[in-house]
Amino acid sequence: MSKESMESLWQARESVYRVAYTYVRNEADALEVVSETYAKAVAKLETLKSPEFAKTWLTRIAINTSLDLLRQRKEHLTLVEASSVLASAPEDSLHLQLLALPIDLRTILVLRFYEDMKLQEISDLLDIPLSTVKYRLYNGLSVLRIQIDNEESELA
Amino acid sequence: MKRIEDLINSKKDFEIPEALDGVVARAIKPNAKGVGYKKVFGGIAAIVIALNAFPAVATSVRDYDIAAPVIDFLTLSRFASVNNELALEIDVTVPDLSQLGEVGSQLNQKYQAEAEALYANYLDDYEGATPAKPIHKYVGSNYDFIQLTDRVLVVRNYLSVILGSGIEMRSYDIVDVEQQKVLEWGDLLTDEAKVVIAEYLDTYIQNHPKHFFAKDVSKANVLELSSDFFVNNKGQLVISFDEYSVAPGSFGVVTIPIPTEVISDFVNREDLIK
Repeated sequence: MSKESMESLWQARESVYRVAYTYVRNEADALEVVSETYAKAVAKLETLKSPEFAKTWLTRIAINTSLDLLRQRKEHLTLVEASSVLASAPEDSLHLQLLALPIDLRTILVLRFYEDMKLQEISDLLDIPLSTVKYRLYNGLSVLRIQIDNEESELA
Repeated sequence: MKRIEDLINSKKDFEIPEALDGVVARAIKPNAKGVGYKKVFGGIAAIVIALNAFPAVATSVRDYDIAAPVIDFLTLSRFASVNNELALEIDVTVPDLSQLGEVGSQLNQKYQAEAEALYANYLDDYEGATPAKPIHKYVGSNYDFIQLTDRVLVVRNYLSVILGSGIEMRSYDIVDVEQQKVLEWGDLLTDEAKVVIAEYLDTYIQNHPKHFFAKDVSKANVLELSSDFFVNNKGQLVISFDEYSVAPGSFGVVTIPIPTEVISDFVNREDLIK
């Protein structure tokens, strides 16, 4: 267990929290996911090939842990999504509007624009085709009414 | 029409809870391991471990919310030992505050006595355990410091006990080097402040029912649940609750800052609480 690996895990904690929150959308559950993510990460740290991959590796664990939690609370999730409790209002800040998007769209936007991941990385991470990532990205930006003309290089 | 840049910039609005560092530190700490060598100090024979499993983490936790300049002290003593067969581990550090004068020497004695008591417990556990019946216990403590003025600082003691599940506790000493004393509640605030603080805490907790055991807390009992307080580097009084006392364990120690405007009529030390 190298010092560099532990330092990398520690440095990624805010990213892990943001990703977890993007899925579960409340602080208590997001902290629970973070706690579980780190416990799992430490338990199988030997599978981390290099400290430079720590953030992506943790993100993958955090996503799976979040999905497990949501599956456990499927009924609750459906209720929340259906009733649009978290639907944003025009006066909400942009990050609240983002978090109010459907899960497939907000995940892509958070990974791309908050966590600065490339679309191919997101495709690999979520195990979905690159074309799907792009579709969801443009769809999400469109719902948020964000101008995407001439932004191709920024989006990739 | 908004732009991509606005979206990227909105990341700063994503609130990161104060509890995050503690949650992560606790999640990774229980697996600490070390390799030992023997050393004798303070009349107690302790197996002292070069326990440097997570120095980067310890540094990061320590630096969190401490205003520059970061202050540090030498270590007076350290009681550290690990026995993998018995699943038993201790790592307790005592800072050397003697450079603060007589008050620092008094604190040295107090912290040393607390550390020795923890170590004595460790030895008891050690005697009572066998490899067939391991204990699975970790005890660790450490300190950090918040400098409030050039003459006043907070010594913050973290104690973690992991036995099955973990529990974290913190205690605080606010040291006035000028007056050579540890500041008490009455030095900082009048007793009347407790009424408005209890009311503020109760409202705060009831407004966050998902985060707290809100049903078990009221303004009548909230300050009975904690006698721990300190002043943070923003000049706010902070009430600190031990893990599990007011909130689920995943939140660890809960610290709630009291806005100074709430207590401004009751402040005795306006140079510290502002």
